[in-house]
Amino acid sequence: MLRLPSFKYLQPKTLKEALAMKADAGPDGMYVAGGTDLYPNMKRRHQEPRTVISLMAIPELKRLEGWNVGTCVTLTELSNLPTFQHSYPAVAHAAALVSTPLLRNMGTLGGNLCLDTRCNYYDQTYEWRKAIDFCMKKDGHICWVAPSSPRCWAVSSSDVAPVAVAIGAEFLLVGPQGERVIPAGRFYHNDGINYLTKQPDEILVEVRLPAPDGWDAVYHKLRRRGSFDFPVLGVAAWVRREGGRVTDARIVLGGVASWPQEIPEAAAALRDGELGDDAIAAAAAAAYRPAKPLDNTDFDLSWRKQMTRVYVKAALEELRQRRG
Amino acid sequence: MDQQVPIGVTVNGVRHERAVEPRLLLSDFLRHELGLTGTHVGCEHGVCGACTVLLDGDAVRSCLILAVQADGHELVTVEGLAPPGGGDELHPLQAAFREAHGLQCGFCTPGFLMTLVPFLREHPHPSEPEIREALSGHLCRCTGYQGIVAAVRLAAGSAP
Amino acid sequence: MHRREGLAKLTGRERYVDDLPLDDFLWGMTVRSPVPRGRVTAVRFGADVDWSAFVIVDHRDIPGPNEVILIERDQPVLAAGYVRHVHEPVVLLGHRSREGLRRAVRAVEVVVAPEPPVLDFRVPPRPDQIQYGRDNVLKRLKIEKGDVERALAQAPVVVSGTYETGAQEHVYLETQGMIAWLEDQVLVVKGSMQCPYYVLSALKHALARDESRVRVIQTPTGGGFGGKEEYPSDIALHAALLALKAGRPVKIVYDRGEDMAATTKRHPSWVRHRTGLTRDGRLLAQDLEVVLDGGAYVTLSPVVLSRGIIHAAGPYSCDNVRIAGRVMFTNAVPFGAFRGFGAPQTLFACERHMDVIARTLEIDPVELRRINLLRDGQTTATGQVIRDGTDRVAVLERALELSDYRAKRRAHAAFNETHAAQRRGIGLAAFYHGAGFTGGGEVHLNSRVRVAGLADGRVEVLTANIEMGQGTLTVFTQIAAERLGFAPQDVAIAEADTGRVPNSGPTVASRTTMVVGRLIERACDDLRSRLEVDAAVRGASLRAAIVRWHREHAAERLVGDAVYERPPGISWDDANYRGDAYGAFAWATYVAEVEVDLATYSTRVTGFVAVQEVGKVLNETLARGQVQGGVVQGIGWALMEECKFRDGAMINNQLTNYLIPTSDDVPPIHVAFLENPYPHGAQGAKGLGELPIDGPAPAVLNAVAAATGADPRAVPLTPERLMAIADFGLRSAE
Repeated sequence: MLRLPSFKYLQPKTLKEALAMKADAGPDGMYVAGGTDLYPNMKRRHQEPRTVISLMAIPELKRLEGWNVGTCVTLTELSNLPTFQHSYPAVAHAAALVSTPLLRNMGTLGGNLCLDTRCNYYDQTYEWRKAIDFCMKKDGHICWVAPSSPRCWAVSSSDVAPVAVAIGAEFLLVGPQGERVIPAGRFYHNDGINYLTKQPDEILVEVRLPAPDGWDAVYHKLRRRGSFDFPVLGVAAWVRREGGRVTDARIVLGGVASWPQEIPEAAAALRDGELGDDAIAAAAAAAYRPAKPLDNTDFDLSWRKQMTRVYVKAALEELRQRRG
Repeated sequence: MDQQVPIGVTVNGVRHERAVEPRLLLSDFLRHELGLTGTHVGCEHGVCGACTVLLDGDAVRSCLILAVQADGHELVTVEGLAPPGGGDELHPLQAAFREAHGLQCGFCTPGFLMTLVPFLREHPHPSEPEIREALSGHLCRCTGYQGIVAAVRLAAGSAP
Repeated sequence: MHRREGLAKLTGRERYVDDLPLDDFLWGMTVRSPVPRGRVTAVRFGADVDWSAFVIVDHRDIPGPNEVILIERDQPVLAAGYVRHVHEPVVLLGHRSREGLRRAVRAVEVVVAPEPPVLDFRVPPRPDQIQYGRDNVLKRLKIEKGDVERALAQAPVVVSGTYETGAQEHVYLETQGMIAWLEDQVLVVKGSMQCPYYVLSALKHALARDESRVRVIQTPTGGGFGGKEEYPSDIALHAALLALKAGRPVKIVYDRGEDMAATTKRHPSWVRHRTGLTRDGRLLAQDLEVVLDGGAYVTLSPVVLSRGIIHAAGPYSCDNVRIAGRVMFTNAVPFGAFRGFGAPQTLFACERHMDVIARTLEIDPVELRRINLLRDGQTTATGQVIRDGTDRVAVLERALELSDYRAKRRAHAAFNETHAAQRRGIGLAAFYHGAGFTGGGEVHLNSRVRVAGLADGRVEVLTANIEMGQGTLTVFTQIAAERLGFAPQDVAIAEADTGRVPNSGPTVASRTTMVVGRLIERACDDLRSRLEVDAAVRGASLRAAIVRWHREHAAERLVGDAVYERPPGISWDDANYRGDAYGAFAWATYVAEVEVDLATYSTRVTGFVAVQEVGKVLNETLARGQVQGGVVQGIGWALMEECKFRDGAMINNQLTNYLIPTSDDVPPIHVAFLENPYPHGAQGAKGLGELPIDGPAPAVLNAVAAATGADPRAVPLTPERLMAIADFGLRSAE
């Protein structure tokens, strides 16, 4: 008997129309794409928009031009595109690992990039949250994960976001003030509540992928089952190599912080050397130290931290094998 | 606030026009407005898969879609699988589930069937791992999935 | 034969409780306790709701005793001033719209002055935590055979170990639901349930209505697994109280979160074994302590404990056995019936312990079981002489053969030598499961079945046993059709409606086919004797005889009856827990193969063989489906299903965070049956439904132990648990 609250539903046909509708609706308006994240959240009264503006009827958001992808492309479409499987296997793979086949039919790229942060104390029904007097992410004042903390520690649980950050994708945002393009890494805040730098009235229109010019990336996901589950750890690893030497690298972790957590120390351990056992071990160890998962997702904390090293190592080994 | 939106949907070949509140879920629309109670609701947040229906041929969770989103679209529910007439003639998948005992309590069954219709259209000769992957968005607590896998193989014409 | 109701289920025509058309009705919802223990000081109704539009029920509206009657009478229908567990029902609300109702539930505040709860059943309670008797023990039971102390003192080897299992959620796909309304003066309650007569007796008691004014009807039930054994009485009472007060039909259907948080689960357990043996592994003494977490009310815990301890010593011969069991009160949502009913917990401990013994004694785990398995003429822990003629060693051998056990062990050894990151292993569990109610239970139930001859020559089978996916309708049809020589379509199965069907007992305890099926056979025979025809009259001639009878006895009813009779030679001493605990046992050996990832500590079951002797198999396809489903449920319990509690409340009460196996997480389950017909079961059948949940957890954990050398003692064996007890050396220094 989980029911949605009342709201007005709008289906704009253009971006301009969408922005106007949002301006009309004010702070009580929200954009929605596939709805696979927002609607369950609304059933639990996490978000209670009075106006819901669907982006699914806006043609530009469904566009696939070269390496620019509209954000309302579904995860199934994204993971099945042969050009993507070839040139951006990490993106296609991350999209294919989201939830279940059915939710990928409905869920979109933009939705996954904007996925609400998750926490055991937050992803609960209203009644459950009321019984613990709520938490600071919604309706309450305290963070039950770290009660003395001034901030919310809900966890970034997107599969595609760490990959987007690792490969250096750029996001095109359109808002009332016009367009702006920002690196994926600057799209996120390390704060469970304000986890996006996007303004509420801005629309994430397009993801601009870097030209596939010699770099390579992989994504590894840790979850309990082979299906359904959000990542309790995601490892996106990106390297650029010249003649066997790593000239640049990025390691980004999902599921350990409120944003996709870049680990510069791990990347530094790889730079200017071969992708050998020692470098991989050093990068894995470097990733282990700053990774500070909190006790608010599935799986035990110490195990998840331990797995950071294991998964970074496995991801880098796959990169080595692939282009060895 | 109680906005009523006129919608027109075709469900199992029959056109329906209604005015609905935006918050009305497609699952509730099918069950309560149209009386199509074969679409079951097991978790209401997109996990169990019991509420799966076809929207323009694609399998979707009707508990995560608004009825207004279905406006102008074509829906198929489990009631629309078998040839019309209400006789005992079944869709090949239903017949295979019956033959291979791909069901026990039956609560999850309509959802599985609806996912499998497009799956078999796209994978006429699926391997066992492909079948298990396709089924992995659905929960069944009775069968251990084996009867369901066998039913899919039977429907696909591959010997178990 | 196809599943009888399959067509309706496949076409979406089957109507589960939430699908039934209902006019002019109210939805009902429950306001629950926010804390595990305390005095209710106030119930505040928020000012922003127009309460005149709601039907409000609390404990003062209960016409009879405020008791959910079961074994004891300690559980209130609605809390009256005091709460003993989180989510305990306090107030009921009824309203036309579900949206409005949900808002209203949120606006009710149950104010409780908290008192110290007891939340860990393994820790002795402090004085201020005592809430039941003098020591919070809900029930104590003991089995004694021989002289355990002396045998242990004299045993060349003693191996001890403790084993733990966690709570398990049923996750029937259809949540609990019930509708109640008044039809003339008769209260009708209809819904998803396993035991219509349990619900009936609960309604009669608390609503102070006699049998003529209450009627309970089961609706097609979307899975039960024990979860719809006792709990439906609570929700039926709630729906009925609202309907009586509202004067209109009321429907309560739980959402998944409420169902998982507020209804019963499998009892958590702690079991200690102390086993005396010869050096070559013969059992000399088994000393066991079994402790279960009962939760806040007695409910069915005494009988869960009973079945648990009776199975705790395993299918082995041992002259000296002592099993001391107790169920502890805690301020948790009461734990309840779940497929296996105590046996999975104690058999997990027993069969894991057998492998611990084998490792300690450095003997083959197969040999250890082979030499100790019960032979005909030997006795169980309760002194029951086993003489059913089943070759239990042959069951074991068949499982080894089908799983290619010996070759696999060699292959795994070679694999493990050459692979740094994975380990493979194979493990087994030998076990048994008693069918039907324990001890004198079946006699006490006094089950009745009726088979009516209809005017058109068909028959109708009337029982209170229900279909919840396990195949009751199909098997009952087969049994009657076979007995009468009828085609299946000439056998109708009556809806389980207490207004029509006799009390054939609950649909639990693997008793339906064996016990009730046998009653159907006898009722068929009785029908023949009413017709004054002999057993040779079958099929068309029998149908003709029925038609003829009706022509000659216009407006009369032609009915064959049968009442339970204890099979000869069975006796049970309930005071001393000695004697024939069950009319028949099913015997099994399950073998699991696993692969453990040494880097992630995660375990995948890669192969599974389930061999059992369940008497005559009446419908092999249905039986195989029961086994496969039970095994997968068991694998879930073994590796991933974990109820997490905080202050007595389940915190992962959603399908996103309470994880059950998907099709991707389990291998094909190979099932084989050996048949040794049981003379007192229908067509020779023994019980089957619960057996398959007993074996997977120990078999899987034994396989993990064989693969890795680790020594896991608790389920679920999640990766983090395995990491906590094992160091596979792949972890680099911190």
